[in-house]
Amino acid sequence: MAAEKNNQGKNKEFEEIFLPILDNLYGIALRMTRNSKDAEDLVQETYLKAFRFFHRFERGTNARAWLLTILTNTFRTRYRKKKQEPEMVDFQAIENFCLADELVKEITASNKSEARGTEAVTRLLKDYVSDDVIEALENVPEQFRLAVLLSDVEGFSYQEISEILGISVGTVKSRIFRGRKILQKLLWNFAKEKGILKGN
Amino acid sequence: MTCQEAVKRLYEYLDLELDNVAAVQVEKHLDLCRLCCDHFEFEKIMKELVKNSCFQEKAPFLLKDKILSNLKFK
Repeated sequence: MAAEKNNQGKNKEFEEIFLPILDNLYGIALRMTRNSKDAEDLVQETYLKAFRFFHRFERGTNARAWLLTILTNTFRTRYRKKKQEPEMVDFQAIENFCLADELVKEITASNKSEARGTEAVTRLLKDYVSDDVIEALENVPEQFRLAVLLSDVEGFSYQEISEILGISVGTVKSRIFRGRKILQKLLWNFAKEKGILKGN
Repeated sequence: MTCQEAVKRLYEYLDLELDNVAAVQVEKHLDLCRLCCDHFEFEKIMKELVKNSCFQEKAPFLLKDKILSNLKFK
């Protein structure tokens, strides 16, 4: 009886700490696995492992960071498969790419807009629908995507990301930098393909 | 601070990784330079776009139940 009561207490504590961040975790899982079935599996496995190692969780520390560490490790061992990631080879060209500059150039060339700088570019950015952003994001190679997500979505510091991913702060920085540049390049390609720019 | 120096610190600034002194230096430049100000603003919006693209997701209704029933048997 006592043991059972203990277990109930453990379950309750676990649920209270970790279930409120389920949506949060699922969002990341979905962007990483790129489909809802794998995302669900990944999240389930993450919770299962977290429960198994719950005794190692230090109360009062960041539960989200702890769970995301488990999630990213699980993702890397299980879902990093088939090398079907899109090839992004030309890093040199990408690192010098700046979507803001390209958009400004485009606006200036079209010569229609009186608004300059932020205002016009912001308007263009808003033409990207959420689906475009998601599609572009999901085409950023894994390791870069993960770093960008942990920074932009979760708001973790470089130090926290370095602990979650088990890489140096310098590597975190360069992955975030490259990830964002690749994302911008992909969005730029979309804009060209889909004619977002033509109307402006 | 030159534009080049400001842009070099752009991401660290937006990610709140700069210490106060460095952040103030960047801000001083942004106050004076419209071009960099636009650039920083743009990157800030990009960050928000990425954030929003994830925050709109809700875990499927049954996922919570599945997780809970998994734990019951442990």
